[in-house]
Amino acid sequence: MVDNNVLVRVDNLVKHFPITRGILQKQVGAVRAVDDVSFEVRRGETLGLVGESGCGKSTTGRAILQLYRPTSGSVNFDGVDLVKLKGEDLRKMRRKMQMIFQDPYASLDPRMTVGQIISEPLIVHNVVSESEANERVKQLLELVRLNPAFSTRYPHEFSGGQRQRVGIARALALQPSFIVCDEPISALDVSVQAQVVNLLEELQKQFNLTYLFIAHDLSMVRHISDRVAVMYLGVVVELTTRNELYSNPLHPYSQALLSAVPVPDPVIEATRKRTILVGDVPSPANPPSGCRFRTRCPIAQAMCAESRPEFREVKPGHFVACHLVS
Amino acid sequence: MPELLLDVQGLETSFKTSEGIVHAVNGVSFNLKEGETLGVVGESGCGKSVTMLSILGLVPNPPGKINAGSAKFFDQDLLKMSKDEIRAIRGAQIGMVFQDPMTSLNPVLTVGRQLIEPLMLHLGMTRKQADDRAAELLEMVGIPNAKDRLSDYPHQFSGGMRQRVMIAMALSCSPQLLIADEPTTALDVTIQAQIMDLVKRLRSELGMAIVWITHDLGVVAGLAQRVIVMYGGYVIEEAQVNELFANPSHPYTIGLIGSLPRVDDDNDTKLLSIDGLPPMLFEKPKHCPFAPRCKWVMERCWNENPVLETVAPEHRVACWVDVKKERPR
Repeated sequence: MVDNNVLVRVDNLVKHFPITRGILQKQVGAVRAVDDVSFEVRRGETLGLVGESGCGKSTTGRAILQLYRPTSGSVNFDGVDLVKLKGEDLRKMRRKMQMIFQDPYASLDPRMTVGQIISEPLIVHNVVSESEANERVKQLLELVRLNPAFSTRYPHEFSGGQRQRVGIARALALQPSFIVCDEPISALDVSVQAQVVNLLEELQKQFNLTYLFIAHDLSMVRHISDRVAVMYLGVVVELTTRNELYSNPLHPYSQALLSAVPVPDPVIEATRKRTILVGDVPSPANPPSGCRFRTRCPIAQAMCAESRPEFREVKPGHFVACHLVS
Repeated sequence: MPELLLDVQGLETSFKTSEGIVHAVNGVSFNLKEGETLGVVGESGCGKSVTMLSILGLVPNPPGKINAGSAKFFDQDLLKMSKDEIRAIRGAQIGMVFQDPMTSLNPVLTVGRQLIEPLMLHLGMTRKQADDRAAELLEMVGIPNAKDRLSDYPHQFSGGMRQRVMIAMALSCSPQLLIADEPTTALDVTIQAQIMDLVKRLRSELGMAIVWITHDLGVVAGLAQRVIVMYGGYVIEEAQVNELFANPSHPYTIGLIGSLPRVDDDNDTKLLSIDGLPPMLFEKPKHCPFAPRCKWVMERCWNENPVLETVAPEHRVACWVDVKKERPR
């Protein structure tokens, strides 16, 4: 069934990175970075993808864009299965989906001017001639609130927040419909984060963009997202609308994660009850049997070790993977 | 009445760089009572870490230089001490925890070896006594199988566990003061919650004073009793924690609190953002350091740098404008 409201549909996405040993590079195991993940991103929405470091949220984002080729599963983008595409066909699709990276220092080539950085995708995809490109670069710089005269400057002349704007301008150059924002604000100072988030929201309205917003900052995700997916150790454990997740989290991991976020209000902090998880996240090379979260789960039972909980809809639009949620 | 533990007055620190002198700290004054927890808040480059490093005698000279000020710890001025004198205090009466637990532990020594060093050096314990105490310390910070893990190397611990080791080390000589510089910034939220919980427990058990440096206002709200907000090398606001969040009075503090989305709030309004960027500090500003980004800026702000003035009991602000009444103070 083709649902017109869905822009990206991810089905049973798996990405394993092989662990090899010896000169023959014999595979001795796999890091199960993403292990059977399914969800949809609807047109014009922002889907937040949250989780702690190493949970596979960035790998999911990259596997959707085919920057990592998935081990199995399908990624349906606007009716086309990206996993089956290769070469020129895939390259043509890349125009429609772009990425904004976490580190504004590492993601811009220090030897290229800002103008060259922003026009590169236009030229690579033969969208415009070089003279037209300059005009387009100026428009894009204005769009992200940078002075168009900056196009001849180099990335080191800019602050972190300004660099992130350059990264946004580059992502917008090809007028994509889908942008994966991979922790776009975590490297920025608090007062600058708000500037960039406001800009992303304005651009979304203006161009009807669809975002997959990957972050570990749950407060920012609450602010920007329409729906939120929570990941733990390579699987999505809960997915629902923003308000439902934050007011009524059902998975014990989501509950603990939300209660761990400090609230900037001393009166509330003084009376808040925290669920403090014991221990650390297990290694994705050797995940626990059954439910991935059972080793740290405060309510785990014997059945949790036996079978993997199904990711099911417990209320309209509210999906949870937990044996103990009815 | 608890005694004054640390009293810093007029601290100024600068660094010589190839591009000129950076005035990182420009006259910072604050104090701390015994057993009190002080939060120090500000963005990167505001001078919060350099202030603490200056007090501890850890600013490398050159390029760094402490130009003025005093830092009385009980009755002794830390800034006037010789290297040997301050070394006897660092790690003994003042414990330190830094941001990155990976780079602040020595990767080629076992955790046990690193833990017993201050015990033997500062407390004159024998190797046997130190070994036993080290195991107790690891147990105190909640590391399972403490005794066996003493012979492990730092890379065998996870990030959160490493930060526990750092805390055990900082507390090994029962310091009166613990200085923690962004100790949870590199950690995931669930691990951050574990560490904050641990620090709160140890604080009530051991009764030490804490200086907690962070850019996260949420962490400050949950941990500190009093807060100083820094900007451009100055303290621009100081208050009890409840007062600061209920009644922020400096335009920067107001902006900072407004720019934070909250996990417990479904308000969909646009975030308040502070336009512009933090100052570069190549010159010591003659005007208010926040003036170029301030919404309420007026003539006087460009001519005179405001000093901290009391606006309410125990609440001091460095601003010429009374933001609530929208008129000069």
